[in-house]
Parts: sequence; C-alpha cells; structure tokens
Amino acid sequence: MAEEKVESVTTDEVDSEYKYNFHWDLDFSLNIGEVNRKFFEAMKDKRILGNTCEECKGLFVPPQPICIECYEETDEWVEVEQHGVVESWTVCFREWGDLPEPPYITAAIRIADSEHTMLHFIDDIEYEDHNDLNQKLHKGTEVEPVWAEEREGHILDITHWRPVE
Amino acid sequence: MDRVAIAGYGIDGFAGDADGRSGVEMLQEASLTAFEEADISIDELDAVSYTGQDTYDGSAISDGQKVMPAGGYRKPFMRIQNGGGTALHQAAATIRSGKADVISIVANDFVEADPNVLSWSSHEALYHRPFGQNHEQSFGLLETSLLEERDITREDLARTAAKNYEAAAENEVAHRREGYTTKDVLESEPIVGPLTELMTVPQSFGAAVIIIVSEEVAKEKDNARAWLTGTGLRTGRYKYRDMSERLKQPNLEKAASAAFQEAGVGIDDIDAAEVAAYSPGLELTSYEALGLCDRDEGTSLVEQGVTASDGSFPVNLSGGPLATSPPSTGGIYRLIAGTQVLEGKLGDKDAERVLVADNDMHLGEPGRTDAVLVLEGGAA
Repeated sequence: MAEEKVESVTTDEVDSEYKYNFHWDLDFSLNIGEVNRKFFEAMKDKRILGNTCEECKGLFVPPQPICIECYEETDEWVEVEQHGVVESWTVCFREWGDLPEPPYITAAIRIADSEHTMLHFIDDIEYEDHNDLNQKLHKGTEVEPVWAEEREGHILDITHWRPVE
Repeated sequence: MDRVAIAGYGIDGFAGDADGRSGVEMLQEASLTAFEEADISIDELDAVSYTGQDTYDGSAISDGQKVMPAGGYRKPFMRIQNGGGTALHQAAATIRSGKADVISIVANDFVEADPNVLSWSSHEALYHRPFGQNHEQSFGLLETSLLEERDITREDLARTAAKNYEAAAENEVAHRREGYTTKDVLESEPIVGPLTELMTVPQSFGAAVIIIVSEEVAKEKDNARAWLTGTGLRTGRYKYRDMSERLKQPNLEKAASAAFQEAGVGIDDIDAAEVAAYSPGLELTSYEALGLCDRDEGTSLVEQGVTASDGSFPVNLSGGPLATSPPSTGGIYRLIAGTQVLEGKLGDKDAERVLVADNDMHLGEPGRTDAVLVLEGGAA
C-alpha cells in the first residue's frame, strides 16, 4: 500500500468548459380572470375602466378584485378620465427583446385618482441627451394615452402615453 | 422565550460563475463545513430548510437533488422562497415550538442565465411584463423618485456604493473585490435611470449553510457562535403606488420594530448591520427605516463615514449585495456575515449585537417580504 495518501479527484480539477447548456421554450397560458377581462374589453373601445372599494371608496386603475386595505371586494366599476400624472419614471438603456430601441422610458402613471399606478411607456418627448429628460419629465407631469389604431384587448392597445401639451 | 443559536456555517463562493462545479458539489462542501464547525452529526439534524427560488434554480426537482448534499434524507426538507432571513425566522419558530433542536438552512446558486430575463419572467404578466419590467427597472423607478424628491444626488448614490466596495475589498469571499471608487461607480455603464452598472448588483454564484440549534443543544455542546434574540417578518403590498411612501420602506420599519421588541433592544443597542439593499438609494433610506437617522440624513452618515467599515455603525462589512449577490443564497450569507462580525472575523468592529435585514427583492421591488433579525454574541 502506498504510504502517501492519494488525493481524490476534486471539483477544482473539473474543466470549467464542461457545461450542460439547455434552453426552455415553453408555451404558458394564464387565466386573466373576470376583472382583467372587463378592463381589457373596454380598452378595445378606447375606454379606461377602474373599480372601487365600497368601504374606503378607493379607486383602482388598473382594476383589482379586492381592496388590499379593507379586504373588501371591489364590485363597482367606473369609466375614468383619460388623464394621468407621472408618479415616477425611468430611462432604460438596455436592449430588451422586442421593446423599443433604448433609451426608452417606462413610467408609473397614476390614472384619474387611482390608489395605485399603471406601468407604461412614455414617448413623444424631444430630447438629445437622456439627461435632458430631467428637465422635461417630473413627478406630476400630466400625460394622456395614445391609442393603437387596431386594438385587441391588451395593455398595449395604448401604444404609449405622452405629456399633455 | 428560549433562545436559538447559530452553531455553525459554511460558505462556498462567491464569484461570477460556479467555476465548473455543480450546485450539489458546492452545497455539499458548505454543508460539511457547517456540520464540522457546529460539532453536529447528521444523526442529530432534525430538519432542513432550503431557500432556493424557482426563478433561479429551475424547478422543484432540484429540491430532491439538494436533499443529498444537505443531509436531509428521511428528515423534513422545507422550501422557502423568500430567502435566508425568512427561513431563519421560520426555522427558529420551529425550534422554539419544540418540533426540532437542530435545523440546517441551506441554499446555492449555480444556474447561469440572464438575470434580467429571470427577473422579468417573475414579474406580473398582464401589466408589468409587456414593458420589460425587471429588477433593475423597478429599482430605477425608485431611485429616480429618490433623486427628484429628496436632496440626494447621483454622487451620493455612487459614494454609498463605493463605501460597500471598500468593505468588500477586505472580504475574501466577496464577489466584487476591486474596491471601486465613487468615480468608478459614476463612470460605469448606464443601466437604468440614474443607476450605473456598479450601482446594480452582480449575479454571484456559490453556496451557504447555517446550522441553528436550540438553547439546550447550544449549552450542551458549547457551540453557540451567535444567539438569535429577535426576529421580525412583514410582507408589503404589490404594485407601484405612492413612491414617496415606498422610499420610506415602511415594511422594513415594521419588521425591524418587531425584531427589536422581541430582542428587548433598540437601534442604539446595535453595533453594526448587514442590509439587503439592492441599489444604493435603498441603503440610504433603510437607515431611516431602521431608526439609524432621521429623514434625509442618510447621505450624511455615508459622507461622515459613520456606516463605513471603520465607522461607529458599519453597514455591510461584507460589502453588501452590491458586492456579492447570489439570488437564493444571499440571505443566508448575510446571516453568516453578521455572525462573523460578532466573532471578529469580518471587519474590526468590536460588536456585541448585529442586525441583519434581509428581503426577497432580488427579483425587484413591487412586492417584498422583509425579515429583520437581531444577533448577539455567542458563548453559552
């Protein structure tokens, strides 16, 4: 028997090029539910709906099935004015799938007097350098939707929002 | 209430790739170290808590694969997706209920994939994903608000990041150890809003394990490295709402309040903290949420070096998530780092009590669960 201990093969000796590469390309399908269906159906007709909590009267655009504060169902629907204010916004510099060529702007927009905001693109802003945007977009900037000519009941039936002139 | 002790821990990491090793191999190495340090045999282990996230480790099938290296065969093997802080909160409750005396909390990060796609795929499908929303963009929204609403500048964000990188340079297991300066941070690639690449977290790979034991076992074996004296856990609202309110991090504040109450201490009794802040502005406002300073005073703490490695209240002696951010393992690592601070193995702070603030915001900010834990020096 050898006197010197033979060391086991350690993981440090494994060639790091040995990788198992794989790709997932699965089709998923989600039931969007009655509340979202009603919202998206209205968008086909260029209407924006919200729903309210009977208890606290809070308005939710986009709608939600229950008021998170009161834990009450939000059964009452209202069509809201097509007007929003920017709660926050950010310029995206990374290229991302089939999204707009960067830099593009996503924003959290408070529609009507909603308790929460809706994410969407903001466009139609003239600027040369993204730093210019600091002067042109602010919390509270008023925006309006720009509708797609063909609509199919999807959040992108509004192509983007733009500052109100 | 009976105390719970951290008796041992093991780390295998951290870097920008897994260096050719599998998740099983990394977890095994970390587990064996933790068992040895804790003086705990596999027969004494009552249960395992695994903090893997579906998004980052594929599927529940990998749970089964991790039972072996974690030593969980024929024992309860629980899975918690909110991270290490939540796992410790729950595991400690299990021990205090008398259901177990020894629990191992384990995690590893080994699957290499685009972190932006992973984060995006876990965001809400109808209203967020169509806009490419991911963790970086969610932090971009917050940081844009922070700069507009508060007297805080991009230089303040960069200075806060650099403070973390300075600490990470002294931490041998940190991922980013280059000691980036404020200038480096400002001049790195713009990513989203005011955030540059060095203001966003890397995706780190590795494994970490901690073994916690009941007070009875800790005293019998004299193996307490740190005592867990307080825990708090809170879940916040999903969807973007009032950004001013979100910046205050009320969820973190409530979790900290619960932890302080249980430990019978306040922020003035804490000597250092490890905070899961995934962008620099969130670290600054976490100082307020934890009671370390009043509104808008966070930048002063960084400027004056209060929260630096050699400051009076070091935050993130490990370098924090900006330096090291394994998605599933980060929470456990923060707990280990907190323990190491108490042991004098990380930083030079002579600390008796360390706060660890963990959360599950690696995937983004719109929904979050915060876990705050108070650790006190060991010795039974």
